[in-house]
Amino acid sequence: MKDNLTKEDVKSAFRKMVEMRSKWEYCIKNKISRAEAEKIGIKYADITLTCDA
Amino acid sequence: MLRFNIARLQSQAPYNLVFEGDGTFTFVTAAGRHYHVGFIEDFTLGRDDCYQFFIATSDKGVYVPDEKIRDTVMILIEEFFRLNDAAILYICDTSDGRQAIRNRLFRNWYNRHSDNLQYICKTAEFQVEGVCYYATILLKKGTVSSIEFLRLFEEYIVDVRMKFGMTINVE
Repeated sequence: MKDNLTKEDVKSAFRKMVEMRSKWEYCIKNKISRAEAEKIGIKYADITLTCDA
Repeated sequence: MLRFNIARLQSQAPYNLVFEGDGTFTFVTAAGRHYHVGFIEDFTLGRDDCYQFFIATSDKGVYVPDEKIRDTVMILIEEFFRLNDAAILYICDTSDGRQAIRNRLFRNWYNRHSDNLQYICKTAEFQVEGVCYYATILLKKGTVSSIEFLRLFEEYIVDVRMKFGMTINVE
């Protein structure tokens, strides 16, 4: 985390979090590929399905 | 890299969870509503083992209370923490001004979940430019990363509160 956090950083962080949500929703509903999603700042989690107990 | 045991998810969740790729699972409720539950990487706290968690429906209409939706989502969260040492951030959607309702609903889901004593759930309410944001961090108790994440989350809140005098309620 930045040591010299400014008020603008905080506002920008919240705007970004909300934007991420709407971008994610757009990506999922429109089946946007991982590569294309990354271009707009969405990094889908890498998920591996396992059979571990 | 997150791991999930799909057989366990499918045997324990009341609705059938289907992995769609791209960090997302879907399920369909008895009322025919389609839900997407997804994880994306989040670096807000400066670590790479933190994931933002989203729930969305692709169907229009008002949410109808359904305990199986809660149970299905909570099984997914439980499996996340069973196999992964990481944190979940949940930020309520603010686009329609119903973020307080979403926050209450999520807290209610968490509080009513039978295994909630295994987890730490902290929600901070931030007022930024007249908009109220709810940020929740979910952690598994007793892990090394949970202590560090909790410290980072609380430091962030203290930092913002002290520097800007923002009103931040923490639940």
